[in-house]
Amino acid sequence: MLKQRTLKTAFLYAVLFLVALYFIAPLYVMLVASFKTLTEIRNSSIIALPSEWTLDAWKKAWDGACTGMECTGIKPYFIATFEIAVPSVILAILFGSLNGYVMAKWRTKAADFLFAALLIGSFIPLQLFLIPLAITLRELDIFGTTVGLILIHTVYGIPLTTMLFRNYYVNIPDELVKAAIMDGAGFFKIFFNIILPLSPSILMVSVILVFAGVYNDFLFALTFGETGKKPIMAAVQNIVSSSYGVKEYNLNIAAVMISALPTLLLFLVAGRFFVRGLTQGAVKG
Amino acid sequence: MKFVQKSVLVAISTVMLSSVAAVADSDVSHNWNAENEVAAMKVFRDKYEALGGEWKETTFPDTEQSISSTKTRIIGGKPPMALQSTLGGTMLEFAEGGLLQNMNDVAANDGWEEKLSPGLPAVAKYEGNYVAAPVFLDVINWMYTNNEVLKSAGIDAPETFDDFIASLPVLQEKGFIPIAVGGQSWQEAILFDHIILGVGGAELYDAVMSGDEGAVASPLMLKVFEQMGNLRQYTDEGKSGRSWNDTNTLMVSGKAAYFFMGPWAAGGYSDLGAEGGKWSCRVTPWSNGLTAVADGFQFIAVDSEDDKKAQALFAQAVMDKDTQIAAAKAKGTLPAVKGAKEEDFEGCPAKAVAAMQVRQTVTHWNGRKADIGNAVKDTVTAYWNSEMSAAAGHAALIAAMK
Amino acid sequence: MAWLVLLPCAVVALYFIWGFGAYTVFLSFTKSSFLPNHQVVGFAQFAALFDDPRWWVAYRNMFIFGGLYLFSCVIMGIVLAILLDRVTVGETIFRTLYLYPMSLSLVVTGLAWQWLLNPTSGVQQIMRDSGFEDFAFNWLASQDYAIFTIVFAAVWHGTGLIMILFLSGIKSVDGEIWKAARIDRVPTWRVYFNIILPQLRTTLLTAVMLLGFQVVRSFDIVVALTNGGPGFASDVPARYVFEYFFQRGKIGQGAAGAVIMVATMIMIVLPYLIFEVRRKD
Repeated sequence: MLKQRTLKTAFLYAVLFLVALYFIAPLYVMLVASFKTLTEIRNSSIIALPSEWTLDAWKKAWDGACTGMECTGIKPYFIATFEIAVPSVILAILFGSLNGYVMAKWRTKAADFLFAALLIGSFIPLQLFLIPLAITLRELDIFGTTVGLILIHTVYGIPLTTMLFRNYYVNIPDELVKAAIMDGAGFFKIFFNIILPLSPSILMVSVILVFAGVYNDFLFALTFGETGKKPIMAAVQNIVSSSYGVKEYNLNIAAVMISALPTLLLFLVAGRFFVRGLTQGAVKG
Repeated sequence: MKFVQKSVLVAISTVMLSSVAAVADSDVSHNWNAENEVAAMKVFRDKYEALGGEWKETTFPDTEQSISSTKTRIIGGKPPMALQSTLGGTMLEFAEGGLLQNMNDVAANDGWEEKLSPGLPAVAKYEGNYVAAPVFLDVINWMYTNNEVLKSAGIDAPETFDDFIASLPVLQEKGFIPIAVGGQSWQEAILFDHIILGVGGAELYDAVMSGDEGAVASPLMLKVFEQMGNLRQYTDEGKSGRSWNDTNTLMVSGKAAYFFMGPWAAGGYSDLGAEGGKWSCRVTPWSNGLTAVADGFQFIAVDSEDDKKAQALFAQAVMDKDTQIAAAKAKGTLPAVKGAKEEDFEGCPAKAVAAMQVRQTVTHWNGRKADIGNAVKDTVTAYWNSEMSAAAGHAALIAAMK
Repeated sequence: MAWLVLLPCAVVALYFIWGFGAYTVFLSFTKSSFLPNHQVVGFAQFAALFDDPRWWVAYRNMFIFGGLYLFSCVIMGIVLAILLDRVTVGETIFRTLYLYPMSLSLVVTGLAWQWLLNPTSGVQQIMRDSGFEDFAFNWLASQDYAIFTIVFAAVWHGTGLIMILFLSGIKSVDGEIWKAARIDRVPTWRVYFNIILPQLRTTLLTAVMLLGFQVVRSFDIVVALTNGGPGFASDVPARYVFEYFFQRGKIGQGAAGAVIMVATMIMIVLPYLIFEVRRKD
């Protein structure tokens, strides 16, 4: 009986371990390759450890890799992405939390209607927005600029943040708000003094989700990115696909690794917020 | 609360600050990424800056992305001042949409009509007006051979198409990749060109290129498809999506024997020493003459006087005879202007200058109207990458070229 | 006050989402080629779209990819959740390992798998180098199988999330069930499949919605992994539409493709949604 149990447990762990290999393999392959020299990449198996560890590829990918005549590495794109992401995150959360507050605590037919419009609308594929978006940005004279991308990410981040905050605020007892109204507190006072202090965890969730969304965005980056200051995902794809006579795999892989680091670290540090946001907020309507 | 107030402030100030930076870009959108291409662009840039221009560029890994970015930017009201691409399909499409600048004044002042090689003024015009500056004549029918590979398989470099075909199974037997082919449709189209030339010669090629429906539907073209189907087995599995640079690496590293590619590929062989030793390039022997495509800069319609001035200046820079010849040397291709001499060049391009005297067709699939060009490339790529029968492939081509 | 606050939200919903959507639907009935053009031409763009063999390849791929992706993620997610529910030591480590791909972008995912699946450098070569010389795994280069490599990479990216959804669902089920099951000597697997999983229908709905959303958005991963190739064998509507908008300058036809994409999604999702909501009431 006991033996059978041990066997079962061993089998269970064996399966879990095998599955873990599938998930680890790509990251492992990229990591070891990024520490190899180009010659070694060509002559050794992709799973072999580097015989000589080198950081050259990482350094060059960061500030020395070329596209065309520019040899700036991915550093400027990295910075540009943060210039876009930080304001977008702040704005989307600001609007989202206020929307959520109104929709959860000052319910009107119109607010319910708007919520439904946002919720259903967020299922429309982004491709449908590209052409009118280009026209709108042109009319505002912010096409191909950082401001343009901030606007885009704020606009399309609002449905997500609104949903997150609304669903969170619905669970705050209405009595709290009613009591505050009795005390003569106004609309904003209630929001800032009562609602917001109760929201640190949902704020965290929103920051992470919106940031990851903006940072990992490719479609808008590709279409509306500023000349020479493309957001990271478009830039990385550009670097990887362009090449001098010989493709420098280690360099490309290092560039991809660097571009993956921020969200990866965020996940490792604050993974539980990641998970909570995706599992609880996003869809439960 | 302070956190929120502070964040709003940061957000607003970032928006304000970055909006100051938004000005029109008078840049050049291009996809010259390889070492030799970059060297050529530097020649143009230096001339442009010497004339007083301020150089700005946007680079892309391939011409499709460069064109699509330009289109998006036109819709967005912030186009580049010039777009580097092959002159033909896309240019006609742009011009038809009224998106290109009329450069007649610059061309008249600078005497483009007399300056350019025969056939090229027509390629740079739309409805009689100059809309582009041709800078290079890229010969498409080059055959690169890795002589070491041929030697170890006991094969002499083929002089005829039949010899070429006969050598493929021998090479494969010895464990080499007989033909290096990449995975982009324009690369596959180049292979297709060589097969047309091999099966039906320049006559068939010119007829098909000019859209002669009889030639397209002829049994010879069916034979072309049969031959292409036969060649599927003589390349490697890694071809999917492979860039021409990576494909070139197969040659340089001694894995493959033949490669059909434009002159720009020659730059990658420096590790193997001089041309004619371990590797060779020549105008594909069964093609008697050159089939070439014009590469150049299309000028996008812009409104501001500053942009127009920049365009005129840039046009002047790239159409300067000595500059163009220097850039062509750097890239390893032929200039669009007249007066290049064989002794100006070395290696492969020198052979091209000689071959130019025989026959020259400035046309290629890219040079056809984009609709047809794209349809042909779609057909060829679908056929090449599947098990489709030759008859079905031929029928698809006939439909595509209607 | 409330109205004023909702104003930006209303602009977003009515202008940037529904307005833009409606405009693109309108464009699909116009002559738009290079630039948007408001001359209405009826269903001509749809006719051109349906006449294009490339579109049908892309459209079919959406179903192949979508079906396999949904199925694999859900099955793997459920199995992994159950397995993790059984272990006591190491749950956190395994959970993190299964979940981290979710934090990576689809571009990174696509590029990573491209290296791994490339026949001349990836898995195939490793196997051949380690003695299995006839080992063949060249799906990336195959017209028939390239679409499956996208499934492979996408499942890698998406399974963790589904696993976590079900794991938290399983853990939230009343512990009394286990006690009762032990008394009645019900085998463990039957408890999961006959008692616990049927209670998690809402979780399944959530999972399907989340994954379905990814299917329709499948642009990034296709561009990074195969860019639609070889040929256009692994193209999907999201990429097709993008190409016709911005590369081929056929905005009208691209818009028609986008409309069909949305219509298909509605036709599939709506009945399921209605069914689930009705059942709940």
